[in-house]
Amino acid sequence: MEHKPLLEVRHATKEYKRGSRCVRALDDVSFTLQPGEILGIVGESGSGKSTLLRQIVCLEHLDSGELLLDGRDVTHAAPRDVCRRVQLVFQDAAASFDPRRTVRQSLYEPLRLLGGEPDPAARVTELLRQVGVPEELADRRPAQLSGGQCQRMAIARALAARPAALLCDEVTSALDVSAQAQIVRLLASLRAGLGLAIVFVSHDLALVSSLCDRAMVLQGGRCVEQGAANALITNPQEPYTRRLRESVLTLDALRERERKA
Amino acid sequence: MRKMQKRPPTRRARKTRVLVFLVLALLLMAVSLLAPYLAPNDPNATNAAAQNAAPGAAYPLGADRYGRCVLSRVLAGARTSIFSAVALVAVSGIVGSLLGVLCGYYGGVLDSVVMRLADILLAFPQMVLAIAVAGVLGGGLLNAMLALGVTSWTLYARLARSHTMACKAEPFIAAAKLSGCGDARILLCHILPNIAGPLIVNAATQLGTTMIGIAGLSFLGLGVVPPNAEWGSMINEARSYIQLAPWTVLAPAGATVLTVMIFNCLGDAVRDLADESGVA
Amino acid sequence: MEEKLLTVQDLCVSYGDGDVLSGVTFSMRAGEILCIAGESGCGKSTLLKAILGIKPLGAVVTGGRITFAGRELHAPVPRRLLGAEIGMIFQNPGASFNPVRSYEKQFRETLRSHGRAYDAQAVLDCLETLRLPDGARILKSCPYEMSGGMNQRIAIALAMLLRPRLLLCDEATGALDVTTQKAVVEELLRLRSECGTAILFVTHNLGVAARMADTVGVMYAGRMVESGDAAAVLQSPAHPYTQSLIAAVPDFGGALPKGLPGQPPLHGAETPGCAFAPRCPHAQPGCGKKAYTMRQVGARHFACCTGRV
Repeated sequence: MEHKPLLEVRHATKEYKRGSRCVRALDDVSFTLQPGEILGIVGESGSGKSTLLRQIVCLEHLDSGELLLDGRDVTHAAPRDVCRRVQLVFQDAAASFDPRRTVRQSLYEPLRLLGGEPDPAARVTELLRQVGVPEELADRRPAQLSGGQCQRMAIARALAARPAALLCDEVTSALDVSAQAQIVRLLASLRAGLGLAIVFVSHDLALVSSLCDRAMVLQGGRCVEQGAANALITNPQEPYTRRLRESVLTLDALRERERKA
Repeated sequence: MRKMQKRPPTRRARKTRVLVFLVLALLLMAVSLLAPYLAPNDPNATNAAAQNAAPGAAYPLGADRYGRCVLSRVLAGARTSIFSAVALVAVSGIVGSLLGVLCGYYGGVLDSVVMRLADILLAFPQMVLAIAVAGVLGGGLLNAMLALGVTSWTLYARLARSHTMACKAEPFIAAAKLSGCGDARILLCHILPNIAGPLIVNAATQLGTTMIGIAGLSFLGLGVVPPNAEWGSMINEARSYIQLAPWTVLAPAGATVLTVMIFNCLGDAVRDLADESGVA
Repeated sequence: MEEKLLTVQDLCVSYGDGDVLSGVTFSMRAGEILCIAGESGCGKSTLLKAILGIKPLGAVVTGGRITFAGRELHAPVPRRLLGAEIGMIFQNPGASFNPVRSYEKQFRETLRSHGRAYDAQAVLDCLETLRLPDGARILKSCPYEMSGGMNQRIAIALAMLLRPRLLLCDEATGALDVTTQKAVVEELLRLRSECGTAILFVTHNLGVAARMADTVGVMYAGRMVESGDAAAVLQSPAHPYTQSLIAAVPDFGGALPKGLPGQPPLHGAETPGCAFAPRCPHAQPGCGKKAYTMRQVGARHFACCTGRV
């Protein structure tokens, strides 16, 4: 083992009551995240991707299984205890900001509450520079920003706590392809610049394969395949992974059509 | 091909409406505050010579059966009616909202107990319960307000609870938790400002109703005790002389109608503005 | 020259403080699939609304004409055309149905209102061809019980039963998972091959266009900047903006997709010249002033700029 894992999830299981039935959202999911690594989690809606991330930042708690952060058991911790090490970025960036506050006010919040910042104003400027948004946009409210800008702001807020890992929950699926590409590049540069570990959740296998080192495929709350991202697309072992791979519409579709015709 | 479209009232028009009624309401409050200086006569001074006197120079709105100036008494009553309503709405609004927010956020036993209590209180018609409570407590303005307050907080509590439950599921609350916010900060800085809109609208629409409630209790003799001036009790005192001296009834009744209308219109205008901005 | 099904000529729509669409011109043959691509805010959705005669609050059509099957369309578009001749599928899968009425009732209602008979077997067959399992159970259930993707596919089934000549799709796959997106795209292709329906598909993802389009139009800031055969536009894009959209589509090549920095203008074309100039990697000092004209750059391939001066 070359590194001590930053995050370790062991046999995570979570059930929700829906009416009289119990739905198993997570079923014995285990994985590790090394420092500075980008792990992709692929699956369709309802596969438990978001549930998994919510458990890791302790917004909810596992029914059974363990959660280790830096080797410390945080299975039953509160969000405040883990948020200096892992942060979550939400799919709907605009909804993840208080609609009545300016983005700048929301950015100040973690800086003030989590402490350790001698000069919060300068830190906000630095964060905005890191995510590549003009400083004047911070004085707008979330509804006045475009989807891509909002998502960058959300990443800036997540970085404010100087976490070691960033969990990204479908952060690009509500965006245009061009904004999506920019966010993916931003994440890659943050890893390179800050040594950030990233869990990148998406339903797009192509996107995951271009960004991630390793990937894990979730189906109905179970992990069906796990491995190096490249191996997963070049040589998928499971039929479900193969189906996900074939579903991605790339520009190659045009060539395929021409071949058929 | 250019076509004109009929547009709903603009935000500006709605704002103007709120402003107009707000000015009228403030004017009423100012009048009631300045009552001692505006009143032509002492509201409690009797004059045997002017019993049931018709409106005239000395008594602009006439005098009642004890020869007291009706205008002066209406002005003095304004203070009681308006300020007791505003105070009751403010207190029950704040108490009810806070309870509702706590119930919605924490749920559990607190939620069950408070909401069942609210259900029980709402099972009675508000006025009937208020009459019963006021009957037990005895007369007096404070007791009448207490009697109405027993049920009025439930409205705010239920509203605040349901909005809090919707709000706490929003991603921005989860994001705030991850920004290091504690429960108190989330409740006061994130949830309360975001659900304040509907609560304020509710309070504004409740002002008129509360005024009628207090006047009603006083009319029944369960509110303000004579000889203190209050519109409801004035109407009650004067109603047997309605054929002899109609002004003694019409003046406080007119004042009640006017005031309640202005406050109701203010409430409606605030609600329309809030609806449009998507607050409520 | 063959008969055009839909022609849009110099369409201009304004919101008062700026044009959302300025001089949009294109045409579609019967059975053709045209994909219109562009970022959000480029006027794609407004274009569809203008064709349907739905005007968002404050928008006015300031010029141009829309011709459908030889007749000019005016707002409001006649009811008998909507649904029966021109169908629409929305981005929000929930928008097509009343959530608390069973599909069967809604299918019956819709078919009746267009003077068609409700043939239970035909409906089941139609669901069958779309590979929707257990059609009878689907018809008994209500939209709120179904996932978004399922709803979208059922909306396509209904569109298929009505056999419109033109189907407008507003980001119909944007809110869906890749697997569902793929299924919806395949179903639309089947709809075209079975009913000969022409499809106008608005999207920001050129990957979808590559799978289904015969012709592709690229819009930026309320203007069509490139159009032509799908192969020509996607394989040898002329306009720098089209090139950037293509670079942004993720593929399995291992390289990160490239995104174009900057934001599209909020209110369509604000300048007479190239609105893309501020973001264009090939921009020249004179670009902001040049008049907008579409030029032929290949066989059935037009662009307003080729990035070369």
